[in-house]
Amino acid sequence: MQGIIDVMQQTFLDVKAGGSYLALLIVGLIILYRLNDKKNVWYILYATCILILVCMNPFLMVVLVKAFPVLGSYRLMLSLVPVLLIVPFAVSEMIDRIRDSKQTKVMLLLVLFVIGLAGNMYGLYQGQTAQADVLSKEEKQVIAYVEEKQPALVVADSAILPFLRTHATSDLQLLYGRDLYQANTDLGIMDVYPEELLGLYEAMKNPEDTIQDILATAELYGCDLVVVKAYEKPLKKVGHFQLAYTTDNYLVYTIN
Amino acid sequence: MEILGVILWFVMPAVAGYTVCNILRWKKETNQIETYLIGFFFLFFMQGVIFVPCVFANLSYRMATMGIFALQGVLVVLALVFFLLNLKKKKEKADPTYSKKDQFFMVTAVLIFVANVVRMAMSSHVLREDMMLETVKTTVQTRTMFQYHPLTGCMMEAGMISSKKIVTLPLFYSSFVSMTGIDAQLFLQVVVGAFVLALSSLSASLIYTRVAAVNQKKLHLFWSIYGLLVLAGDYHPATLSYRILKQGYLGETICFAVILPYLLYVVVCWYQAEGGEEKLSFVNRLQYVLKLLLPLGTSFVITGLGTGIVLLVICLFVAAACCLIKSIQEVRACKE
Repeated sequence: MQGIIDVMQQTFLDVKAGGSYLALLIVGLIILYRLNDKKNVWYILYATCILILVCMNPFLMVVLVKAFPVLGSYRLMLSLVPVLLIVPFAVSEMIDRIRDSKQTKVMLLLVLFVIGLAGNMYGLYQGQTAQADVLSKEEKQVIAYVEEKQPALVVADSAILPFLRTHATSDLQLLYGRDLYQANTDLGIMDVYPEELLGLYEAMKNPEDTIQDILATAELYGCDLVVVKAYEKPLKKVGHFQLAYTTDNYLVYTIN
Repeated sequence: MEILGVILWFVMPAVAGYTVCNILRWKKETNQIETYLIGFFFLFFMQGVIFVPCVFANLSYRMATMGIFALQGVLVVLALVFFLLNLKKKKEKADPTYSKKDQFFMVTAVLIFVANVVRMAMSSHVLREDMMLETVKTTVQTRTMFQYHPLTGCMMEAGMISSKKIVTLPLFYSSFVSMTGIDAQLFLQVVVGAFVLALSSLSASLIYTRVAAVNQKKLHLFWSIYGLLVLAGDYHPATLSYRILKQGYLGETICFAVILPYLLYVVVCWYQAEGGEEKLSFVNRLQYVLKLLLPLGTSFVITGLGTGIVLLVICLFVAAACCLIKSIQEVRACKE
């Protein structure tokens, strides 16, 4: 029971911390209740929303999430479905009852201000949004360099691998892609690839000690460009590979 | 060709919905919004029905894509046939007239929608960890379907989704990208994003039309506020608004933004119909069951069973709540 209460508390905290949309929902519900004459008709909607908001989250967490761990990520999405249903509903009903056009305009501006304040319209929550997802200038430079070289086959560090696949415009061929990148969540993948390749993927996590093995294995597979994490005192030449391009966080080795 | 593809993408659900509603004789019971949504569900469900066997049968990407376009061709032909048949029966309807106030709210709704689309276009840089885009790009580039081992779900192409399930949605998007030559990122982020935003506001407004006396002004106002909430609600990557704005093309976003409100709408309709004076016939109940099953089937297909299960459970809970409320009302009525 305590677990369910904790989950409910956490859910409300998540929603509240996110931008006070929950407060808008509550205000919306109160407005609707005050405005409508046929209150019985609304019970179904109230029940539906409250059911989803309050009951489903702990249910998801306690029962479903144990069976399907991925479903925990839907908690916040599910919580905000009623907000998107109720708030426009309440505002439409409220403004429809105002007869004076000036009052209507003032009310619309007020709604715009309140929604903006409750959400992220004024950039109040920039700190916790997906800033980390933004493609950095350095990563753009590495991608541009890789594209310019037009390699036959590439091995890249897992930090830049998604960028290469998503942003590179040329017909870039990768030795492995997200499959190995996500291998820890999909055990079946391990059966597909040879041990050398799995070893290469592991070695890429710590290139300082394994750079020679990385480049030797990459050459074995026919790769002519390797992007690894930067490390101190990088080797300039390893086998047929030469250090061709460096940034603060990445080193690019190529075969000329 | 690209513009034609975008138009086709937006028109096909209307064509599919019109055909399905005519075949099932749902014309009277469904309004235009619901018809469009039914068409969308049907299309997205059918793409799974076509692609999943193709993946198992190791058919070529070209064959599978041809199957999708054949389906769309059949739907267009059927829609034309039904349109011609209905043309004879159709009586002339007066065009709706809008007052200045209505026009103001309509323009506001459109402007907010455009602002959302601009926001989508401007946030394309967030697509760092995007498996869907990677898969679409790889599929278009290699012209091969991703092949999964039926048991392990391992993939064979580099850069594709690794999972123990078959998700055919990237293939569906790829078929459109291949056909039209549109940039994959633009298509997913802006075209499909705008499409899902429009669908989600339509789907949410359906419930509104069912529980209140709604006129054009109120409907436009509803869409405006809905758009504002989406525009301002991307404060956390896990929120629905964030997903609609930046990852509207994902199956789970479609499930929560479009399918869930529609499921609630169908349950509300069914509940209201059961509470009406006339007793519902078997055919009417079957219609509601089908209306529930179609989006549920779609959610299973587009998420590879994942989120569909959540929606099924929610649907069952809401239905149970409706039964409970109806029973309480009946008991009260008996007492009175």
